[in-house]
Amino acid sequence: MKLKINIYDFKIQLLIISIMLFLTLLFNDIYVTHLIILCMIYSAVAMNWNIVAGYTGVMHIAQQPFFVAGGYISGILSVKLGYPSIIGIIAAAVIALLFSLVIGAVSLRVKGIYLLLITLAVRLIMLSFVLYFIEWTNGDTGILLPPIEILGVKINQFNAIPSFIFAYFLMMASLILVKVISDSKLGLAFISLRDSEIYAISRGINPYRTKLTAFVLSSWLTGICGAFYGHYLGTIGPWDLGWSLLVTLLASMVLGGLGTLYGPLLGSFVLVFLNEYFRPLQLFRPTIYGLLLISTLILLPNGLISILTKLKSRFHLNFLTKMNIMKSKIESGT
Amino acid sequence: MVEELSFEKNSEYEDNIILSCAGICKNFGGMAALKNLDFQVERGAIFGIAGPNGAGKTTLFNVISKILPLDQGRVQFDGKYIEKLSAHEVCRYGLTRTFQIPQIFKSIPVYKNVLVGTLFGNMQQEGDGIHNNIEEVLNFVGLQEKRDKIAEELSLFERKALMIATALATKPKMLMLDEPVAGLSKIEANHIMELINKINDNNITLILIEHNMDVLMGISNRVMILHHGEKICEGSPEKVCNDPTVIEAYLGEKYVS
Repeated sequence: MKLKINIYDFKIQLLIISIMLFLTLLFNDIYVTHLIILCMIYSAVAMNWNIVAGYTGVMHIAQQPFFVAGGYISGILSVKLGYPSIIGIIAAAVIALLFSLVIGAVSLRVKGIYLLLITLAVRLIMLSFVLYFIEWTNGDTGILLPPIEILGVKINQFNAIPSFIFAYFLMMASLILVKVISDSKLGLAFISLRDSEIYAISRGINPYRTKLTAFVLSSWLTGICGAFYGHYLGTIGPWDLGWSLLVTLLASMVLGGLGTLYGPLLGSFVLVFLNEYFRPLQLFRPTIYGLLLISTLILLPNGLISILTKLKSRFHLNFLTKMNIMKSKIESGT
Repeated sequence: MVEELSFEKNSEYEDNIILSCAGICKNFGGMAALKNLDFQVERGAIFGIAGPNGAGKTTLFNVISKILPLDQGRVQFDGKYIEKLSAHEVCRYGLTRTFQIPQIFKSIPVYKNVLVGTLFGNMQQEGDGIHNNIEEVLNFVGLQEKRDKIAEELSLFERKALMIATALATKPKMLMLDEPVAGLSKIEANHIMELINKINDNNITLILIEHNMDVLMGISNRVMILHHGEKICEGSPEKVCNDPTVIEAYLGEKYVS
């Protein structure tokens, strides 16, 4: 039997990514593993965000509130109400979904900058809620979350391997979700709305309902990611609603490649590791970080992932020319 | 995403009239783009609309297809009043349009562009029928060789043909074409004209906006001339060509003999 490996097959791609991720465990360095876990969580959120911002072309910044809401819900349920953490995680998904349904139903009636402003307001309103309901959220202090317990295994930052596996599954689930959606009838509706909304409508696509579907589909895994993030780091607080996390998530998506399957994944890994690489620069780190971001966006407007696509087409072209030369040689009889 | 369409039944429905517009008004701020416009289109006709720039031709298309809301008036299509439907429901009901500025779904291949029309424009189609319909439509407009090309790589002519193809994929009863030959070479324009006749042969009623009077007069059975949002003349091409008000609107008063 002949084993054929096709690199364009999605399952093979997933396998390659999985092998590369699990190989990093061989470093046996707890800090590297911690960074990889963060990368996987950020990329999962960025990939879900990409369903709306990249595939459907509706740029919004409510993904961070969905993420933080997941963390808070799970925190409140497990710390204040004493439920097991797994209930908290499920609740995080449900609440994020309902939250996105409400936000989407209100905000998707408008477009462009107005939508951005409404979703920005969501962030600010959530911040004031967090600071007001101190008996639930602990206000400025934030909530200290216990580890997740599944079948007696504790998952937090002091148990690297189980956390790694949990984050890995979240990332893979997001990747598969995006792939399934983008190949489906719904995904076609998303892409056509992005490419030309007025044209898509006049070919029978309901814009409001389709966008709302995208919004809701992108939120529930984000909620779970937020819950995991809280339990993993052991805290969730108002600082998670700050600019730093927003910019990291947004930049992973945009830098990696909007509307591409692997863009956000690549983007988040590059960003997190660049951030670590420039740690010796201390105060100048954000400056360097910003310059790199700007230059990448100018030089590669379609994101870092477009390097791979360019390499692919160049390789393909070389191959074709060689084939043609060979063919002409054979035909001329030499 | 199957939606129930709700219609008002109309008792005075005449079978040979597919579209009937009564008292259509549309204002942009203080400016009236369409003033109390009445017209009817017969089933199976090629109905031409012409008029100087800013006459309200595209606005008329926009309000009929519900891309823009209607201020006043009634639009009756195939026996039902459609002015309360949303734009996507109008399409699903069998009234499809193309745009003056060619619109395409630029990041997906040609056949997926057509698939959008097949899947969403006509919710009844399922299974193998969809695939056959796409191939049939691509053959019909002559884009079968480009089926795997990304739509962004198409030329202006191919974009216009693709836009008509996606419209046909929705299986419309009536098709509204907004300047289908503008910006094309003579040969390409002839291709589109042949295509329009072929579409009409398949029992699809057509409304056509066209600047070029020669083209319009050659192809339409009935022509309406708009000027400042009002109908100044309607009738057979010969009658409209010789109408003094039309000559005045196009060329100015001194040409009226």
